[in-house]
Amino acid sequence: MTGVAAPQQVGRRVGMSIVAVVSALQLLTIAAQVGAPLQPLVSVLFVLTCPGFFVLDMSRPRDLSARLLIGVTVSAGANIVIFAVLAIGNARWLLIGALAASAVVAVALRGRFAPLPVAPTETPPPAGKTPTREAEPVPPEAEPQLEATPQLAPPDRQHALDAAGPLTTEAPVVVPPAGEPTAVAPPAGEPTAVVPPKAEPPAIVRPATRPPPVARPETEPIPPIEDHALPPTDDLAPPGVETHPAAPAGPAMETPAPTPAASAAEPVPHEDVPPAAPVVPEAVRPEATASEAAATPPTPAPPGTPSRTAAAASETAPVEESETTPLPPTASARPDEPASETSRHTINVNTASAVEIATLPGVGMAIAQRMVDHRNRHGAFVEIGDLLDVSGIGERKLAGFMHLVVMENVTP
Amino acid sequence: MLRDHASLERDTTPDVERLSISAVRHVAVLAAALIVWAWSLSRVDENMLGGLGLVGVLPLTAFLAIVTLVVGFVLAVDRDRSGRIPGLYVASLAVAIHGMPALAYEHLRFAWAWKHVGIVDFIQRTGGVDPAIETLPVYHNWPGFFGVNAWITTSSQLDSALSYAAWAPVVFNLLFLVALYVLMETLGSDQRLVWTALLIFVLANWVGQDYFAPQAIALFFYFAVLAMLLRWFTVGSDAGADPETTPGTLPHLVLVGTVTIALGAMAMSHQLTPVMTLVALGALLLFKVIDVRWPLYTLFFFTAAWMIGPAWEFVVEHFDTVVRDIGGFQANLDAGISDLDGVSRAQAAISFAARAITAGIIALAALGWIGRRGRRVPTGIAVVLAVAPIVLILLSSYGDEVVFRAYLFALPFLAWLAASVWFPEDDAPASPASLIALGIVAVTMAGAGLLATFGADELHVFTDSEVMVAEYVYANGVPGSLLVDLSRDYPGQFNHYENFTYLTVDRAGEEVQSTLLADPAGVLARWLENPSYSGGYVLITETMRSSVMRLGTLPAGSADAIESALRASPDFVVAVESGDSVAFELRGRP
Repeated sequence: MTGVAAPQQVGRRVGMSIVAVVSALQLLTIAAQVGAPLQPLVSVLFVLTCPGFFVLDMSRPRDLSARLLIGVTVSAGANIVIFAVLAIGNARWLLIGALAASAVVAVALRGRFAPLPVAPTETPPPAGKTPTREAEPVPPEAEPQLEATPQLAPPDRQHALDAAGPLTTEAPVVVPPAGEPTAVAPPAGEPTAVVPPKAEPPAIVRPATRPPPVARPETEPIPPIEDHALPPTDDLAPPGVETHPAAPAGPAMETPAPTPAASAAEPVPHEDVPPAAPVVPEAVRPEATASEAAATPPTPAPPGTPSRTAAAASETAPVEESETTPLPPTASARPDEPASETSRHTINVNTASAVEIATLPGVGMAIAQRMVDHRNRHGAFVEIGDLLDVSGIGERKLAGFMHLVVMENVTP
Repeated sequence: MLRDHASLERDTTPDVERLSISAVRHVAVLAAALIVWAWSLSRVDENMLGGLGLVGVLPLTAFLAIVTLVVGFVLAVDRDRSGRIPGLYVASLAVAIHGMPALAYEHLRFAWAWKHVGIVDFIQRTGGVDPAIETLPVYHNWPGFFGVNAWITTSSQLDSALSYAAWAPVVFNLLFLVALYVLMETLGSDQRLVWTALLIFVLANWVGQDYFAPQAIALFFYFAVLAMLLRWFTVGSDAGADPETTPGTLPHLVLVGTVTIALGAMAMSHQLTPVMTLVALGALLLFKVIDVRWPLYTLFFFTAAWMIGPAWEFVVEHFDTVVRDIGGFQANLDAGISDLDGVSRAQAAISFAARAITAGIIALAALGWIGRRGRRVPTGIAVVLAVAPIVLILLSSYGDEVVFRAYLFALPFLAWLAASVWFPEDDAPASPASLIALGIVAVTMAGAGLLATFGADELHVFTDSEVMVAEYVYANGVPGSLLVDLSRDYPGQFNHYENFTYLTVDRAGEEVQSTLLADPAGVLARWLENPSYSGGYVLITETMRSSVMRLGTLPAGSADAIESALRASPDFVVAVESGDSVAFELRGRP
């Protein structure tokens, strides 16, 4: 995603800086009781620049209506709050209100930034599947504690996942990078953070032999690789680690190919297509900063591998190749497991539950339910265009998530 | 299948060129309609306003322009699936319908708007509000909207908010469209459905809560908060699919901050809207549509904190009126809800139009809901939000008015359900017959909407002469004066409003009225001579006359009887007079 994000980030920084400067100017002119013509000028500027929030790094780049709404809401709302308090004319209320509001917001969000507790019922995830929110095109400056999600999945979602159990038998694809522990050593003290609190949709990976049903838009970077980049902690190492010890060697070494999961997301033949360079740094991000990653290059990485992430990915690739036939469920793929990071990005719309489908960008519960209904009525989706038949999915919406969708029909 | 985004967007329209040609045609038609509309409105003679209000004096060409816009929309909606052309039509209709008063009338329409200008004027002059003030204290205790307008007028060196308040309906309706567009896209991405629903919203938004008033901006925040929550905070949306739904990212923080700001601004601006928002948020949580509770808690905190803090004294004193919003509702419905005996036939027709449009929308919404149910297409969110406002009616004893407020809160979702009568499923092309039906319904709705919205303008539009008389009274009243008026339907309270104690005859009890009418000059003289007042006026304007006659709040001929009694009385002199408007004061007192 970095390839896309970079210009956006620059734009966002510029935009945010302008907004910040003008906001400060506005407050100054109010505080200093500056009159015309400066204050009207600054006021107009303020109203005009609040839509600077437009440049926010949103997943739908052309979503102007949403940005307009945010800009207008902030612009009108902030001014109303400021002048309501000023009109009341008691600075004490301003102070008390600001403190109280931040307290409320802090309390409301407190779970969001805490390290994740390990859910007692959950088995440790396989090393290769350590979840990261970084799979997301997260802006680099976002705080690193992205994995921290506030609560565990609501019970209903858990159940939905359980119900979707059979799916996860397909999940073995995500094989922990065996023999890589040193390369992927997690930052100390972070072991718990790698357990995703929420049940993640199970990963469905397309068998390598299967031709991709649809080509992704080229503009979409491939996020999922980093799943494998995640550091398996020693104690979290899944039993499956030893089972594929030798697999990593071989073909993957010279081609830092996308992981199986990645290939599911992007069905570009990975033999000859090296992953886009920008993908790698992101993959490393979650626990270790980029600099950390640089500081501790993975020893086993073949020359030319951009990072340990790629190395890890390369390890898993061969395993995937060997799995052209569906594997029996392995220990590493548990239904109740936040099966894999890959699941974060690819959803098999033919098997996933509505709750899982609803995690696709731009798809809410309503549309997800319609997809399930459609599937039940008309059978499996065969190609990406079939999704357009679902009420609520238009070209635009589809373009927003088509790269995250696979269409394996695993249910007979 | 390798397609870039651009081709993805277009590939439903095999012939791009043909589309762009027809787009040019649409834009040309649209521009022509708007020009005709503006030209027609410039020819409106506001002195001719009669029983049907603006509708009675609007040139035929203005109706034609509006019908053209509606028909253009219907022609474009099924062909331009991108929604751009239909969107242009809807935005133009919002301007064309809700911008009418600003172009047609010289003075700010609607007495309540003048009153709100008066609060802004107060803040402009004194630098703040006075929560303990005797008259209109509710505005001083929820001053967000007025504070920001005072800042605009002060920093822009405007004398008063009258300079721009007439355009508030246009601004607010466009704001509503922005928020509702984002909101409706979360209900279904079919642009035809989205824009048809917005069209119905624009046409059926007759309740008149979009003038220069705090509830209008609060309503925008209501829609905005719902839109943001439904877009980014629904169940499952935080699973990390987008940066803006991933907790901990900057975009997500900005969204949280934006929602928080909107909730805070809402709680500081209006009393009823936060209650409605709490109900709606509770319903969305109850039905597991959203999975974040902090907006509910935050809004509850803001509302409670504001009441316990800055507005505490008011809350204690006026507990029964806190939840409801004093006044501000279109007065043409105040009377005639339960009995239409005393009102004119025109007023009855307008009330009927308003009720017909309301019932029609609800019926269409039910049809749409049933149709969607048949197809097992989810409508849950819209139904929940369309039904939630009923709680307001249950909670409030505010009588008839709360029914229409509830209607307003439910309207976007009713409109969405109604629109799905025509577009129940994506991509299924609408048949010509159903499009014709849409056109007929929309034109009918536009007509009824115009009548319901502007039919009572006789009561809400003011002439030069009464504005002049009112300006004189407010400029010359000394602090502590008494102002006796027949009704509230006149341009009042916009300037130094706190100088007066107000006594409105048509709101006084029947006993008071009959006493007054038995001996107008004597009773009024006694009132004004009361030593606790430092001065006073009796104000009779043209609109007051129409109002008491039209609404039947005073016996026929009362206004004339009072006026002639005062003219004949030795105790009173005319302070200022212009046209049919006159202000009397006691002889020998300022």
